[in-house]
Amino acid sequence: MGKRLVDLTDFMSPELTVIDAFRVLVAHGPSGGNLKDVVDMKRLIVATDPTLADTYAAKLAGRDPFSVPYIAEAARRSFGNHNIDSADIAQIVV
Amino acid sequence: MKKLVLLRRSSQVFFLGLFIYILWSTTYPLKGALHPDTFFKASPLIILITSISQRIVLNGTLLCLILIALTLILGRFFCGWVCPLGTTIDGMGALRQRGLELKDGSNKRLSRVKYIILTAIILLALVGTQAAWILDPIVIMARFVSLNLIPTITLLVDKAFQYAIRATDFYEPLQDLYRALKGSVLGAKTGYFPNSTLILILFLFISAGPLFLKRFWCRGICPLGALYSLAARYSPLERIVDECTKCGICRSRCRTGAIREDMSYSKSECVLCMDCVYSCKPHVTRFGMPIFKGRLDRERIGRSGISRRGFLFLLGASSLFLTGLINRRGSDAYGASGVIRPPAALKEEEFVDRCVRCGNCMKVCITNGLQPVFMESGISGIWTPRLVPEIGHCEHLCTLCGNTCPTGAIPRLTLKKKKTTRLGTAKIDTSICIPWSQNRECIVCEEHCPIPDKAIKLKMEMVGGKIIAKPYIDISLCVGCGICQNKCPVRPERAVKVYPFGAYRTGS
Repeated sequence: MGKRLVDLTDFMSPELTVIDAFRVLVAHGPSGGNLKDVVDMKRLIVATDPTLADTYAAKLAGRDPFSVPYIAEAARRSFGNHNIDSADIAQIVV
Repeated sequence: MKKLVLLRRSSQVFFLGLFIYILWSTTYPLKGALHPDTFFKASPLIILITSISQRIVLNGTLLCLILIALTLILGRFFCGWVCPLGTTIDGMGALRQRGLELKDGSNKRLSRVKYIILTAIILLALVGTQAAWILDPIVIMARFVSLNLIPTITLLVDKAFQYAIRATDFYEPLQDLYRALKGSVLGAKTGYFPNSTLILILFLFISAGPLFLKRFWCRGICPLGALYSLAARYSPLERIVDECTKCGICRSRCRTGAIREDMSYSKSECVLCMDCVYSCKPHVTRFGMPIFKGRLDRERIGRSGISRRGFLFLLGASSLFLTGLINRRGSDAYGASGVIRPPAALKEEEFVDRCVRCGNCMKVCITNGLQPVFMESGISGIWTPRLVPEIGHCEHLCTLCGNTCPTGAIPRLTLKKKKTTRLGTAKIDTSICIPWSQNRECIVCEEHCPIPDKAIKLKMEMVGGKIIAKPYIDISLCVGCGICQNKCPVRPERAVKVYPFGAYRTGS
């Protein structure tokens, strides 16, 4: 499954990736869940590199990025940058 | 001069249009001008018979009593000016200009049959079985419109648009038009009712009758017509002929055979169509209320309806009919039925009794999950609604079916109550479930479960170096909505199915 997602992203070559992290359902998703499972993170992740966006999002959700199959696969293929520390991240407060 | 006939026809078209409009707007979000219940609450047969057999007073009783009171004064105006099935039957009958003319004797025998049927229905109601749904004209018409006509129309329009969009060069404007129509008139969903063929056949049968004999159904079978006939028997409004030349034209035009060979007429058969007034060559026929002029000529009216001997015969015939039906019912009344009923439906025996098979709940069900039963509930349960999760699940945040049920077989629920109402319980067949039987990934059922704490839990198992999530049902949380069954990718049988076990049913 991870391989297919990376193949698809490679084929689509998105120029901009936007991840909505404003109100995040952290348990009992994707449909279902209690109101108390929702965390107000109030963030928006915008990146030109899809792998970086996903890695950051995984970290934000409290998970090891390499435990997510498609991030691990992207890292294996060197598809995009999976290294947050070496990335250029700007935090803009609105 | 033809004013009354034109007025009658406009009235018929108006009420038929209204009827179809009400059913057309019986869909999410229920914003039609009139409540989906309207026509059902205006059928004394449905309301009064269900009230009697269930020993309660239903909403709409007042309206029905008003209609009967009006019939006592005016005669069978409902049959001639309002009834949507009557309008359809008139339309079919008009295709054949001159129908059969029956002799007095045959006419009388035919018109008696509906009284037998009505008596049987009343007797059954007295012993607690509601059988009005079998032959009530409003319900028969509603089933046809909701489950056959409207789905076919919307399907054809859909297909026409899809074809046009693909085949022509007017892609953009057609798409916009399609979307605009879908958002307003057509409605977002197209109903799909695979089990509705029998309903269509019954309707076609009834509509084909008038091709041979005008108003065949109204004369001979309709129990609502029989009820109105009894009420119309001594109506003050009557047909007056000043100096009859006995030409017989009116008799050949009379659509219910109410005018006899001696040119007198039967008030209980007359549906006030006004044809005789305008076909009378010497123009000596009219309708009026001579009772107010102090004359009530019994001779002119003649003998109509049933005699005392006739009534006793009816009683006997209906009792025989009754015994036959009662025995069959006894074997079906085991209580539990194998089908999933709508949320919080009455207990099975009462449900099958209270449900008038109007088709409203099936029409309005937002996922199209409610479908008509065929034989799964015994013969007495035919056309009652059941949930078929393969076609549609019971949407967690929806309470539409209860809101449109005219007799309360499905009660009105608040959203809060509906969310915890149990329809049944899901069960996973681990011999075909993908993670369980093949050790491959799939947790589609768990992902779709709408219960806040998830009624499907995952058991993590290490298999051959990978962790596979295996789903299992938490039966303390599952409400049996069926979305897991609907989304399960396994074919031909789903790996997770809902059974009616543990369902909450109203009333004990």
